[in-house]
Amino acid sequence: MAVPDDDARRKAIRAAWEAAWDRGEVGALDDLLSPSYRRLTRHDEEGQDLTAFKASVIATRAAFPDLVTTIDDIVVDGDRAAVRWHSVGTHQHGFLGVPPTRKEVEVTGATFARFEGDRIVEEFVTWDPRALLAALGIISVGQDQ
Amino acid sequence: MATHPVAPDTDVMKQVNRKFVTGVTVVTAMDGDSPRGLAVNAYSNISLDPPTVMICVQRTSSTHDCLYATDHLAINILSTEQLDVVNTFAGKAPDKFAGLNWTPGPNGSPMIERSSAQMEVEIRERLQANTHTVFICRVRHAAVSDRAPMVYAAGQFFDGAALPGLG
Repeated sequence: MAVPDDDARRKAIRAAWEAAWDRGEVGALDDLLSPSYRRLTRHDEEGQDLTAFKASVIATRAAFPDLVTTIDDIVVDGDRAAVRWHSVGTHQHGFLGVPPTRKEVEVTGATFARFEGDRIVEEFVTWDPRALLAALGIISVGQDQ
Repeated sequence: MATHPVAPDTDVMKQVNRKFVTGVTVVTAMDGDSPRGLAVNAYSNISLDPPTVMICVQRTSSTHDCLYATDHLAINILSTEQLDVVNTFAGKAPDKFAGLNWTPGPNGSPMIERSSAQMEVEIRERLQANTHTVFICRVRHAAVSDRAPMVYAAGQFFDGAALPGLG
């Protein structure tokens, strides 16, 4: 039956996201993401594997210790899931080369996931790091050399 | 005059920079309860209305990072009476403010006494440009004295009140 499957996947996403993004329990991602997981933000890149993604969650939470991520919308259809989310946190330690600004910022994004069985094997993530930098009042120039 | 169509080497650029005469500022800010500051000659006025200025600070400076956490900083334009001040702030003394007379500006930034002019500014944009950050600032408070400005050229300091005119 499709409906219980969709519901189970929805619950699994919520549980793993809350544990990892809100509490830093990145081990919980093993319940949701396949060992062969790939996280892509562009088509022409290799993206992150599961280990690199866990490290990036830890690094993000180190920079924004009070980070809270809210799932605004979650749509599951068969082996695909779409999540619209926003995160709020205070910039307490260096991030993306920017010294701490002590500012609270919000970023928004969307994640499209593909399941194989009960694990996600691939995610396409859309969010704009420049929007985060702009919220912090940071502009990067002279990156073209 | 020799031209360099590709990338001029660093030594040439250093010589070019020695041909540009500037004043001297000490940029100060509060890092929590501690005052911090450094000597900066990369200061420029941008616009009078609204009053907007910019400074450029090397990322390796011990003052640099606190300029990301604070909303305000002070720009003290040094006078001919402040050779002691510029020598202190151009160096790496652990407490550059020891024995220095200063008062907090309206938003707390250290305004150094005997300066030629002082501004307290609100930091608006931070432009990360490789080794340096350019801070674009809105002037919130300004004061001017009768003291002549210090002049900096090719690594030396000069008396801004004793410059022979060309005309």
